[in-house]
Amino acid sequence: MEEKIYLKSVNDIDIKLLFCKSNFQWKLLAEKYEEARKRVEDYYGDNIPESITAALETLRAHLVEKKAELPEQDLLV
Amino acid sequence: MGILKEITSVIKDKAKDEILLYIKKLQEENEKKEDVEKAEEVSQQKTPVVEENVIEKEPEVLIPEQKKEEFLPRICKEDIYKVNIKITGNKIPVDIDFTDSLQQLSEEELAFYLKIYFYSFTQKKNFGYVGKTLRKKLRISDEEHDEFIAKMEKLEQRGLLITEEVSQTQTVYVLYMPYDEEIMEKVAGTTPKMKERPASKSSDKSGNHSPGRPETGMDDDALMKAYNTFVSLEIDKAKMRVGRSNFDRIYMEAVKYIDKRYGFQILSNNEKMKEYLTQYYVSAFDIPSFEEWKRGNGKR
Repeated sequence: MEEKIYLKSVNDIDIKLLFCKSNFQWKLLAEKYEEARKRVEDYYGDNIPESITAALETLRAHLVEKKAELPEQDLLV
Repeated sequence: MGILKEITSVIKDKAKDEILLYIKKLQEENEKKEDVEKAEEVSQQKTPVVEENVIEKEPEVLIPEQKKEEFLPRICKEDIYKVNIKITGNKIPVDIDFTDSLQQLSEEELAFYLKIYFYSFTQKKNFGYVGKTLRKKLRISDEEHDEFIAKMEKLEQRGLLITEEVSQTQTVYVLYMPYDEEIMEKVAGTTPKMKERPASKSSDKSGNHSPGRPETGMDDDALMKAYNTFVSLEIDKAKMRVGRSNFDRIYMEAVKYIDKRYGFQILSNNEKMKEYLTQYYVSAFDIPSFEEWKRGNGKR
């Protein structure tokens, strides 16, 4: 049951990512991803179910891709 | 018979004489006609010459008038700094006192100034290269290039813009904006050198130097700022060189690299992200390192 709840929370972030249009929105979703990952780690410790690990990895890859699609950050100067 | 022959020979001789006289008359008449025609032709040729002279005289009068440089009083006597703009939301702030002084501009100058002013907010900086990209963004066609440069010069005379040649082919402009420390941040703390022009020059201040070039007497902080400007300009150049789509791909690779190399959390940290992204571009576009740049006197 918990596994399904955690999976859903990760998938929800993935879906919201589809509608992300700015770096600000992206940052909020990245924070949610970090929170979700931390909760999973706190709950399962070293024995995280494979389905959740795979979902987290996919979400991270999608976040990185989305970040690269968004307008470029201002540089140093 | 003999008499008849004599009569016919006399008649023939007379007829010959008559014919010769007739021919002479005809020739004389023809010559007279030709002379008259020539005289007419000459008179006709002379007339347009006079007209041409009149036509030529018109531009002689107009050209000096066009070349006369219109004196445009400066409406802004403040120094112009390169700034980065940080705004949240979709509204562009406009200083009321400044708008009052802008009323001195002609409609054409005001429209042109506002075009660049608005563009600066979308670019989040008040400077950039004077080139095709700028014309494209301002929706100015290639044919209007000369007019575009003339308008820039007018704004320069007004003290609202400065241009600086960074190389033989590239010129950078900096637009005057009333400085608002809440949304603006000065870049490298310098005023760029003004282009040498005969009229309407204000005296250069001591802080003037080429952006992105190390100068004698600079402290470490100023050197680093100058280097950052240099890197920024080099990245802009690379962006133009490789094209937008290729640069987007490079950015995508940079983000993936930073994620792998430094971790996901760095992507959320703006300052670190900027730093690592700049490092990535420095490496990708072979931009000299700080030490190399100092040794090479900022030249590329």
